Amino acid sequence: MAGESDKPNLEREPEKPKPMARTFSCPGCGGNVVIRFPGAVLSCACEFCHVVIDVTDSNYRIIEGFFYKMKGYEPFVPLGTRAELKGKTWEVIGYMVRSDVASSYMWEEYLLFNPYYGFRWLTNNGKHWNFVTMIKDKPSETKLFSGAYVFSASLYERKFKLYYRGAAKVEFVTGEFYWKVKADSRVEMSDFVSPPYMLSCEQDKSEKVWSLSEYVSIDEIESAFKLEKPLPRPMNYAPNQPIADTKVSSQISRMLLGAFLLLLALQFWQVCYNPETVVYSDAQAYRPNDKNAPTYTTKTFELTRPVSGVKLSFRSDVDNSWLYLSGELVNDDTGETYPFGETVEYYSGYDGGEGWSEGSRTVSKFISAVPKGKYYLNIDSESGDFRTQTPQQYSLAVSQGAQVNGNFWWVLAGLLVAPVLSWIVAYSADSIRWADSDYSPYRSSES
Amino acid sequence: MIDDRRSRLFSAKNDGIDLRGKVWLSMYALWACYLLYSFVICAVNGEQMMDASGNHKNRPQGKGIYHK
Repeated sequence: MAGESDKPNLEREPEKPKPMARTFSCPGCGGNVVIRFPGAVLSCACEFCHVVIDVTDSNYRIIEGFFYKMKGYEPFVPLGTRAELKGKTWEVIGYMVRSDVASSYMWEEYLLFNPYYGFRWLTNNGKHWNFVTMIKDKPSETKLFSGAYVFSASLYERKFKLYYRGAAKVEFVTGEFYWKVKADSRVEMSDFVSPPYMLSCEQDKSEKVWSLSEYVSIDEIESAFKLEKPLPRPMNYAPNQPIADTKVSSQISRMLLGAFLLLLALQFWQVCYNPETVVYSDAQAYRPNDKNAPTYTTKTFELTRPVSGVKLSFRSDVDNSWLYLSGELVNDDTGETYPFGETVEYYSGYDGGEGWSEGSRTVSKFISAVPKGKYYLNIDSESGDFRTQTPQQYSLAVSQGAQVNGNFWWVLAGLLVAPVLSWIVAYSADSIRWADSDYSPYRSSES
Repeated sequence: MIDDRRSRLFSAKNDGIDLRGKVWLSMYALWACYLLYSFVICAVNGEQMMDASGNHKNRPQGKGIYHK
């Protein structure tokens, strides 16, 4: 098969360069036809009248005159141009235009040749370029069921997704080819993508050929052929064009997973590190609607941890009423204060035969980073229960080492922002890439 | 042998992540480290990163008005 290996064919490597080109008159128009590599090609197309000639025939028989009718196609460089691509020098010896039978969409294919490495193809499809190597390897094909089409292929553990399936035919050729080109010759084609690669399968009645394409940037093509005039730039993504955003997205997802597992471990550690202990509890009576209720000052209690979160918990059996408790946690030694204000409120009733309730008879207040020392509380109370003057009661509890579980969610939210943005960008770019495919994973089965 | 063949077939230089992507990933890695570090510091100090109501953390207010 044509130039499938990257290893040099040492048997064909000449000791000294020999002039190999052969010239003859075109049997169609009499024009001068040059065959650059007589031993390597089987047919060539006359650059003047575009008939295809069998170069293995001693009389240079015309195989096809069909291509004479086709005009308007022009290779972007003259045949015979040399370029260095993928670290090797290649000569452009053939030019072919093919089209999709169903849609008549056309693309260009340039046949490259190096005497030591064989043949390669350079394709220009929608202004995107690919360097194509024919391969002997047989990719494994996956079907949903026997008789169904192949929806993915694997080659050396790399999985390729089906992008295109259809038939292609030859529209125009010029130059030399390693097979006898026939007019209107058709093949069944399937393209499977895994950027920056594309695996293509071409099949006719006699054979099935696989090739591997690698996406080549336009800059690389311009540099390889030393073009003075820039090539036209594409406006869309190629099926196998590497999109930086999708690679960043998958990498950032891996980093997010690692950070999330670490966060889970740290949360577990925090729960173990900060056991919550009650250091003071008390109960105090209050009289509803008492505007002159005195401030209640608790006994002194001690916080023993160097620094810790402190939770103040209040409970009162309010019923369709509220109790507002405000005051401050005071350091008995330094006089520093930590103010607070919380409302205990609970309402319930029946509406339309159904019971309802809202609020809670228990509230808590978290105070961050309180250093160790002796503390007490000053508490003012104000009640909204105007129906009774009977003294009521509230209870309070002070805990040190209070859990700060909210931090877990804040960190998780902070970790998610960049990945979510990245997923949106990558999803958008990848769905644009698949927009022209009938097998897009982003297309619903109904559309 | 298979690995050789595989590496020869899939040797594209543009298969990696470009400079812009590397800068993005580096910035995210730094941000993740900062968040996790803050989480540890807050756990040790018993601090909330943000108050649930959206207010800032409680801070000592100086001498209390009810100080004995």
